[in-house]
Amino acid sequence: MTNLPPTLAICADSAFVTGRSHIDRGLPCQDYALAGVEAGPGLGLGWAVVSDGCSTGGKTDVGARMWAHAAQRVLRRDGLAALDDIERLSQSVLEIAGPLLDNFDNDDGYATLMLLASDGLRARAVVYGDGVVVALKRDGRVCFWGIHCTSNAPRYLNYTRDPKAETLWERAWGQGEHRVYYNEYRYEPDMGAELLATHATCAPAAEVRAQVIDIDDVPGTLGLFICSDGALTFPGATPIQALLPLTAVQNPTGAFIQRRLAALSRKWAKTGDGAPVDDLAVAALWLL
Amino acid sequence: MKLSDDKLTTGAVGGFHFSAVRTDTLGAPEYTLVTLALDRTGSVAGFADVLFKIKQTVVEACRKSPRSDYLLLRVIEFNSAIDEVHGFLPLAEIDTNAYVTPHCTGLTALNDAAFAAVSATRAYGQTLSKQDYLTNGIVVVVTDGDDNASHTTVSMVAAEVKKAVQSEALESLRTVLVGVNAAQLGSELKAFQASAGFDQFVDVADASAARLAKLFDFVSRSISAQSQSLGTGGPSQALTF
Repeated sequence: MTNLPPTLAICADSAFVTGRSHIDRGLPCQDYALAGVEAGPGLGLGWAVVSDGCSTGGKTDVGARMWAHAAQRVLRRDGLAALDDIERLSQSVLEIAGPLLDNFDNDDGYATLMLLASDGLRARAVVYGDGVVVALKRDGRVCFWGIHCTSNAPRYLNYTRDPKAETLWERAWGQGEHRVYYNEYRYEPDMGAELLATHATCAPAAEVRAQVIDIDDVPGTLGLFICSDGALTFPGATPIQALLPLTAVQNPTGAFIQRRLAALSRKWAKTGDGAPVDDLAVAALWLL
Repeated sequence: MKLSDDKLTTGAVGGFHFSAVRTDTLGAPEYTLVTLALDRTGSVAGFADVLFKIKQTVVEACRKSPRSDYLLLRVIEFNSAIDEVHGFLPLAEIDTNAYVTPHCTGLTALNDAAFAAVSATRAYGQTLSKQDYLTNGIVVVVTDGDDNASHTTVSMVAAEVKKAVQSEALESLRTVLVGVNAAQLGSELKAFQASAGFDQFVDVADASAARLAKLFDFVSRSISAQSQSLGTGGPSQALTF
């Protein structure tokens, strides 16, 4: 454990931007994000949610929002403990999202779902589908977990609402690989990013309902981010090159992620390139 | 003002000091920096109460704007010197009961006032911009007379306006010169507007209640319009007085 004073406060914010491919095709932003801090014992609970609607699904911009709002209600109600039991978490989110999604076509609900919560001492992320989890450490390390399905057919929570669809998914994509690659860099503005560690785990996609990421040494952690896979679609950028600007928070007050993405968007508009190809949603907790 | 000193930051450009709310208390993604620079020279002594009312009325009008949460207002008064009534503050932090009727005396440092207003806007805009805030600005200078006491020249004001407009710190800057009871100096003020690179000169003519009510409305609408233009890449269109 890092010997640091306790976290004094948790800040939370989220934002999402439309990817270039969606703009070119006249598609709406199908990513969505929410974040907040719930009052409670100690520092309360910082929570964050990201959902990424499938671009070949239906009205998944609507579906993504329903999943995200259902997830945030579960997190705010059950706290960090909501992320301890995946089956129970899935059930809790489904109980809220299911009745809403029943009013829509089944393919409107195909969306990934990422949840993150921290009380300042412990932090856990749960990922249904794909995305990136980032932890900025107070000592300058940048750690991130890329959750990736080799088939690019994530196992959406929505499949559990439709056994037929789930069976079809298992037959078609269940033997694909569910990969988690972990990278740890030391970053200094003058020196750049130096790779310290990297490793990957792999499992048959059918065996993984959701990926759990436990963040170690939370008191030694400054920022926690969950990002849709749009974070890895910056043209010509390596994952670390893409993630550093996204996480370069200048001032964690108020709408800090909104400001960061807006500042980057202005830069992309000015230079005419650099924008992500896919939609991008980011939700973050900042531990002061 | 209500704000305690530990919530303020200070800066200086060209020898002119300014204060502003610390950025770690600002939650919104974008802000319009508004500066109201009011003449309090000896020649306006006859309507000091009007100058007092301008401050209060503009704040109250801005509070009703749909963009009120995105405005940071600074008020300065000038004669031979520049006095900051308060630095860039969120409207919620401004206590209009703390405003006082200015003691009107001395000469007119119009160049200094314009320079101080524009340079502080640029400097604080730069601070905000470095921290990802999108910012633009509007400077409204209200005077009844031409410059006769400044250290800075009108070309220095023009250079500062140009720098502010061209800087990456502010998305846009709108500059308005308002002449009150300045019928005799209308041409001089017009010349100042042109030489200093201000966007607009508004001649209010006399300080009658009806004309002043129109002025309050014009100033608050101009502030609101400039704030609504934030994010469009350019300044608001000049409004008609």
